[in-house]
Amino acid sequence: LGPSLTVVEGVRRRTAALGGPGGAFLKPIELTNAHYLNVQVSLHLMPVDGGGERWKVMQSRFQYQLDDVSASKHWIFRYDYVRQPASVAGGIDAFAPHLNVSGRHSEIEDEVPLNSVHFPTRRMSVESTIRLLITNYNVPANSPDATWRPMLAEAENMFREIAHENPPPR
Amino acid sequence: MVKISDNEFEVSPDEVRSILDKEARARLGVSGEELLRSYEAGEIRDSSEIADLLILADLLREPQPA
Repeated sequence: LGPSLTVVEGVRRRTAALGGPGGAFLKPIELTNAHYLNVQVSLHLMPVDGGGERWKVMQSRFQYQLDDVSASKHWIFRYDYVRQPASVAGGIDAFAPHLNVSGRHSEIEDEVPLNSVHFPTRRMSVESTIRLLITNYNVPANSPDATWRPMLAEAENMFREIAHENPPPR
Repeated sequence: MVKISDNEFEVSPDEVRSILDKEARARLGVSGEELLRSYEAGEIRDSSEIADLLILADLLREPQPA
């Protein structure tokens, strides 16, 4: 089962969230290797320059993990993005887009636990995350290379054309 | 929750608050309301363990111009 979209009634259907299958927002998606991709994305319908409105990503998380619990202790890596960190958390560095990797520093783990390091990133697409899982983590694709590679490339190109980038943390 | 299609669902704000409250109590021992107050006040220094909940909380916010 793939992700599902949840919209909120009442507020003129201007907020939505992408999450787990069947409307279970916090439920990770099972992959073909019996591990999981935990995907959450919030969307707000916002005005754009030149008129009109567009759904914009407010926050996102992509987390590769071994179990099906959203608050997993068995995560491998995760990416977090917050569109407007200054408005919700004082603009602290921890809310800049970053990648966490689960593991241990071989020499300085006591000084700097690797799990806690926020490696700074620009916007990371879900397409690049899927590609990473297939090509580096050996998750079997459910279609041939000739199908999934161009599909991901086309979708990621569309993402890059409109992706918002945060200014550097201050 | 109302099913609109196989991959689209509609929820009420109260349903969102209920999920947040249950998860915040289980993970942090605080209410969902307290979690959101702490977040809005800039008191959360690292959201690593609760980013999924903070994303869910966006469903309760009115969209603001960037």
